[in-house]
Amino acid sequence: MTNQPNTIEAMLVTLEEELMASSDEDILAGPGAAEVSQRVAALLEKQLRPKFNRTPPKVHVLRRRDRRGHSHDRHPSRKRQLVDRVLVASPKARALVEQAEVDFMSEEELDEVLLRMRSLGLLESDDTK
Amino acid sequence: MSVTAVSEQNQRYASVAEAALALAALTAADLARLGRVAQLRAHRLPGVTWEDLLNEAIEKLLSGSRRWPSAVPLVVFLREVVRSLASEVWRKHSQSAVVAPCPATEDQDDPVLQVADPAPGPERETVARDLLEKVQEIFEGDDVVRGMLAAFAEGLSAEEAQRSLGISFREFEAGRRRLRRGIARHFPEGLQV
Repeated sequence: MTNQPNTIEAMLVTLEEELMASSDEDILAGPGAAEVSQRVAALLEKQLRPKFNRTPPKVHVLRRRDRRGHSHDRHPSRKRQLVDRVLVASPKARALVEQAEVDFMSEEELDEVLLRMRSLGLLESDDTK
Repeated sequence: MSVTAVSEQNQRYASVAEAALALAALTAADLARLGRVAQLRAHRLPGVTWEDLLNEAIEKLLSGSRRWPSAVPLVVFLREVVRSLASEVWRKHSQSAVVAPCPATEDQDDPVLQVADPAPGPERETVARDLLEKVQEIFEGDDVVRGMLAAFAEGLSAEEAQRSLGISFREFEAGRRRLRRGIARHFPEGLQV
């Protein structure tokens, strides 16, 4: 039965496909399934943590007033405002980046996006200054 | 972190940021599916655990070295990466097995002779047979499902398997549902590393 590479592969692929197509209830009912799920979650968390180290501050932090009595959320950076404006105006820009991503971006990443928008002619060179 | 999605020949690839968000949104059931697939692929894999396979697959996705086509579900894409990583380990293992025991000859340095045999090799054949037996055990007494498994192991398609078992389409589909449910609910514990 297993004297050709494709027969081994065919069987494994069949088993994989059945696992993928199984219902949530069934897959979580298997022996040790909850532990497997938790171990995968731990692997993911370990790798994702550095990617999300710029998690946005919580809403109550954003609304806290600074020393001059201004609320932080009233002053989003000019770069972010610019990206937001282009995103609203241009479908081409929306293919480049999604609004949800912009909210998580650092100033350097915003610079990169603005640069690409400018290279696509979505921004005048003066706009980014 | 790459923040922009890339389009090539009408194929859109997710950015690393999108991939990270999608990974963070996977459900407990999706995580269990990925774990099970990795366990299946890591079964008796020399020197590599199922967690190693998954870890590397995720790392490749987040580093951008494997690009995720947006049209493919993330879990399916990761399954493919895990599959290719496991194949690579087997390939390297069989290469070393072929090269190592070669007696010293005048052709020893000829790289053509050091290419691994493309056949699965006796070790992997044994692993596959063992795996099939473990899965067959789950379906003790269910001749239809056991027959289906044997047919799939022979490389038959679903249609061919149904014909060779001499059962109707409905009986075959019912058997397939039992197979799916059985594998998910009674995943062979012996597979776990």
